[in-house]
Amino acid sequence: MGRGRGVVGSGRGKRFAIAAMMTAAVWWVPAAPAAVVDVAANDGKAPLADVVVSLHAPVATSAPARAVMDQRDSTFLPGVLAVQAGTTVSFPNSDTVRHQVYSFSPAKPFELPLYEGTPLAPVLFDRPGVVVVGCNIHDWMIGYIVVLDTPHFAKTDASGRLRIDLPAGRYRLQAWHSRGIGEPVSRVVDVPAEGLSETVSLALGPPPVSRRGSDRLRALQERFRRLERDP
Amino acid sequence: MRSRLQTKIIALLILVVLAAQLATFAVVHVATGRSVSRQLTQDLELAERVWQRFYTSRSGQLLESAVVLADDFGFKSAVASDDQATMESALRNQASRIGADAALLLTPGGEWRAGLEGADAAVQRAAIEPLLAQAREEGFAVSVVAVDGKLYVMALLPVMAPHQIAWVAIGSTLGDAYANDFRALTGMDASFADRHGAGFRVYASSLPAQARASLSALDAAGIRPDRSVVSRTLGGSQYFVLAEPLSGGGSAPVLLVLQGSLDAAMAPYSQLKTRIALLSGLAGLIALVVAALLGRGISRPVSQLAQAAQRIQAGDYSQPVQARGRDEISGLASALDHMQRGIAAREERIVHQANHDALTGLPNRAFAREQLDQALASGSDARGAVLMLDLDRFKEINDTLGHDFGDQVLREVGKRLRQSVREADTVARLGGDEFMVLLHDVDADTAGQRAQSLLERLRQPLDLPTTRVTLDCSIGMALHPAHGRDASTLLRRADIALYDAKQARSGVAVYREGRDEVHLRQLGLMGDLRQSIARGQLHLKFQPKVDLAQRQVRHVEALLRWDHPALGPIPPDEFIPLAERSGYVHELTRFVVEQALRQNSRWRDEGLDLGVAINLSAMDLMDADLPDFIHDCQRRHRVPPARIILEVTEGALMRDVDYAVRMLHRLRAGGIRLSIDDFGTGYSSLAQLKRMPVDELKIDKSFVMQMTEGSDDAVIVRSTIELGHNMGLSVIAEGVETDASLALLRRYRCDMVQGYFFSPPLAADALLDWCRAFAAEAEA
Repeated sequence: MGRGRGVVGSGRGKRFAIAAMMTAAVWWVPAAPAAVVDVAANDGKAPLADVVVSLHAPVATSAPARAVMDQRDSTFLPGVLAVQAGTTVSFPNSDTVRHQVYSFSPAKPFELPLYEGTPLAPVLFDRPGVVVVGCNIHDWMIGYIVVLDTPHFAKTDASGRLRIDLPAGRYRLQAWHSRGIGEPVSRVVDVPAEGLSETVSLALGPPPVSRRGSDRLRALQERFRRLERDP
Repeated sequence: MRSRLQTKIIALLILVVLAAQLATFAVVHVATGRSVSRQLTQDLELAERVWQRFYTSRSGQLLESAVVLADDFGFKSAVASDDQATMESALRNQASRIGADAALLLTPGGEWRAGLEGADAAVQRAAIEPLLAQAREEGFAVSVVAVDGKLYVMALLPVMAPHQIAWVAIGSTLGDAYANDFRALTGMDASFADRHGAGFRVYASSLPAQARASLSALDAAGIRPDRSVVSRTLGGSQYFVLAEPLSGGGSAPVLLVLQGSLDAAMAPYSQLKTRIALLSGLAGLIALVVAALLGRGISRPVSQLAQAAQRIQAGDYSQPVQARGRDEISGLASALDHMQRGIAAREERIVHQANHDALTGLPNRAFAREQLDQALASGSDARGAVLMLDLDRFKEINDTLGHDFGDQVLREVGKRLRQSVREADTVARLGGDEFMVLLHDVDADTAGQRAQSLLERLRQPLDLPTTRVTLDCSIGMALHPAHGRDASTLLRRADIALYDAKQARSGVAVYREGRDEVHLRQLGLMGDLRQSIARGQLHLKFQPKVDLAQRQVRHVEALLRWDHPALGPIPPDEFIPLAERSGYVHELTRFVVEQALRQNSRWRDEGLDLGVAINLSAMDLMDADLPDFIHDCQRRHRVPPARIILEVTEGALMRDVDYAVRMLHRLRAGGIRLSIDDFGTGYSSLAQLKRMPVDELKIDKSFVMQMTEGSDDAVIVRSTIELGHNMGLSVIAEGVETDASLALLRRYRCDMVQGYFFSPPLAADALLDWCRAFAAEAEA
C-alpha cells in the first residue's frame, strides 16, 4: 500500500482522514500469509488501557458489522468502542432513566431522542473518524466510537496490551487514546509472517474530572468559594 | 448694682455647672467619637464580610448563569456547528437571555471565536487571558476583569459536548449600580478602582461625584489593600476607608475600596450633642436663676447689714437693724441691733458727759459755746444777751468750809440760776465758780432786769445742811446784736463787763463801748511785758527824797519805766496792774531790786552814800522767796541794809494783815527799812498800823498836791505827820510840786519830801549830777 493508509483521528484531523480514505481506495494489497502483531501501549511510564491501535493497508475498506454501546449506570459501556467503517452501532439503554444520546462529531453527528430500552434504529458509522458520544441529560456521560477504515484494529486491555491477526505486509500503525495530545502516533510497520511486537508511547492530557449532574455545579461553587476565602 | 458677693456666688455656681456640663460634653464627645469610630470600623469590617457574601452570591449567580449557558444543548449545537454566524447569534441570544453584560466564546485552545459587539476582540481576549489560565487549572474561573475602562465580573467555563468544544465567558458589569446595590445593603459606600500612577482609577463607585473625585486624587500608596481601616477626607467629608483586592493576583489588581462616612455615622450623635448643649444651656440658665436667687438671699441681707453698719458708723442709730428668718444672718442682724442700741446709749451718755458739767449737770463751756453758736446761726437778727456770772469770795468758802461744801454751793447756785430763767434760756457752768446764762429774745432793758433779778435771787441766803451762807456775785452782760454778732466777741465782752463789775463791785455791769479796745491793749501789753526784760525795754529812773531838816538828799526812789517799742512809754499805773494780774510782777520786782542795788553800788563807788527805795506790789507780799532774794542781792552788791527802803502800799498791807506782818518782819530782818506807801488811801486802822514793823510813812500825793493853807488836805497831812512822829516813824510826803506846799510841810516838820518841785525822776547819771548840784547849792 506504500504510503496509503487509513487515518484514525479525532475531529481535529478531518481533512487528513478524508484524504487518507481516498488514497486507500486506489491502492491494491496482494494476499499475504497471516501474521500476528503484538502491541504494548504506555503513557511513557505505565501501561495504558483503552488505546485503539489500528494497522492500515493502503486500501481503505469498510464492511457492514454491528456493535453495541450500552448505557448502564449513566455510563457508556464500553467507554471506547472501535469499529470498522460501515458498522451500525446500537445504543441500548440499560438504565431506568432515559438518555438522549448525541454527537456533534463531524464523522457522525447524530442525536437519538429520549428513549428507554433499545432504540429502533442503530446508527451507521460509515466514515472513519472519532465520534464523541454524549448524553444531553447527563453531561458527564462520554463515550468514544473510533471508526476505522481497516479491519485490523484492537484495544489495549488493562495491562496495556493487544494482539492483532492480519496478513503479513506493510501497514501504517496508528494509535489513539481519548486523552492523547500532540501529534498522533502514526508509523509504517512491516509485518513479517512471523509476527511483530510494537510498543507505542502516547502523550496524555490530564484526566477529565469526573462529575455527575448537579454535583458539577456544586463542586464548582465550593471550589470557587474556597478560592475566594483563601486567595 | 449687683453686689460682689452675689456676683461671686453666681459666677461660682455657673462655673461649677458649666464645668460639669463641659466635662459631660467632653466625655460624650470623646466617648461618642471613639464609639462611632469603633462602630464605623466594625461596620466597615462587617461590610467587608458582607461584601464577600455579596460578591460571592453575585458571582455565584453569574457562574450559574454561565453553567446554564454552557450546558444549553442548543447553544452547544450552535457552537458545534462551527459556523461563525451561528455561533455569534447564539452567543448574543443566550447572553441577552441571561442578562449578561458581556459574553465571549473561545476555542478550547483559547482562540477567539465570538464576542458581543463593542470592545475590540483583541482587547477582550487579552483581558480574559488570566481567567483562561485559571480556568485551565480549575475547570472554571470567576474574576474581575477590566475591559476598555469598564469592570466586569467574568465567569469562564468550558462548553462540553460532552468533550470540550469551546470556552464561554459571560460578564456582569461591575458598575455604579452594583456599588449602589451594595450600599443599599450595607450602608457603606463601595468603590472599584485600581492604582493608576500615584492615585486611583475609579471604575465605579457609590460615592457622590465630589467624594469620588477625591478618591481618585488620594495617595494610593497610603491605602493598602489589606483590609486595614484608615481615615481619609473625601469630598470634604470624613470617611473611614478599607481596601482589598478584588481579583486575585496581577501587578495592579482591581481593589474594592469600602468607605464609611464618619459624618453620617456621627449624625445621630451630633443630634445628641445638640441636645446635650441645649440641656447644658438650660442647666446653665437654671443655675443662673438659682444662683441669682441664692446670691440675693445671701448678699442682700449682708449688704443691708453692711449699710446698717455704715449707718451706725456715721452715728445714725435711729433705724433698727432687722433681718427676716432664723439663720445666722438674722442672728447677726439681731446682734448688730443690740450693739447699735448699746452704742447709742453709751454715746448719749458720753456726749452728755462731754457736754455737761458733772457737778451741776449744767452744760459745760464747750457745749454752751456750741449752743451760743447755734443760737446765733439760727437767727442772726434775734436779740439776746450773754451773761457771765462769777461768785465773789468763793475761794474763801472753798478754803474755809471745804470743797464738799463748795460743791454744794455750786450745785445750789446752778439750781437757782436754772430756776430763775425761762426754759428756753441756757444756763452753763464754765468752770470753777464761773457761770454763763444765755437769755434769748430780750432787749437791753429786759436783760438788765433779768440780770438784776438773778443777782437778787443769788444773794438770798443759802441754807445748806451744815450752815447758812450768804453769797454775792458779779454779772457781766453783753447784748446781741449791739455788742457783737459772734460768740467769741459776745463772750469776751461779757467777760470784760464781768471784770468791770468786779472792779466796780457794782453787781451787774453791761459792756461799755471801748472797753474791748482797752482790754485788747491790756492783753497785748501783758504779752509784751513778758518780753520786756529780755528785750531791754525796762529801765529805772530815780527821784530824790530830800531831807528837809538837813537839806540833803538822803534817799532816791527807784521807779520802773517801760519804753514800748510801738506804743512808746507805758505809764506804770497801766502796766503794773497788768503785771499783777498776770503774775509777772514777781519778775519785775526782782528786776527792779537787782537794778536798783547795782546802781546804788555804783553810786557808792562814786562816793555817793544814797539810800534807795523800792516799791513792792501787794503780790510781792505773797512771794515767800522774795525776802531771801533781796537779802542775797543786798549782800552781792554790798549795799548796807539800812540804805534799802522797801515801800509797800497801805492797800496791799491791808489785804491780809497777818500775812503782811509776817512778811514785813522777814523783810526787815537784815536791817532793811520799810515804808508804808500811799498812806491815807488804805483804810488801815491805828491798831493795824501799830502792828506793822515799819520805819516810815509816805503820805499819798493826792493829799499833798492839792494842799493849801487851811485845807482839809493840809489838816490830814499835818495830822498824819504828827501821828507818824508819835508812833516813832519818819514821815515823807510825795507829790511836792509847789513852793507853798513845801513851806507847809516844812512847817509841819515833815521829815522828807519828794516831788517835781525838786526833781522829776531822773536817769542814774543825771541823778548823780543833780545830787552834786543840789549838794553844792545847799552848801552855798
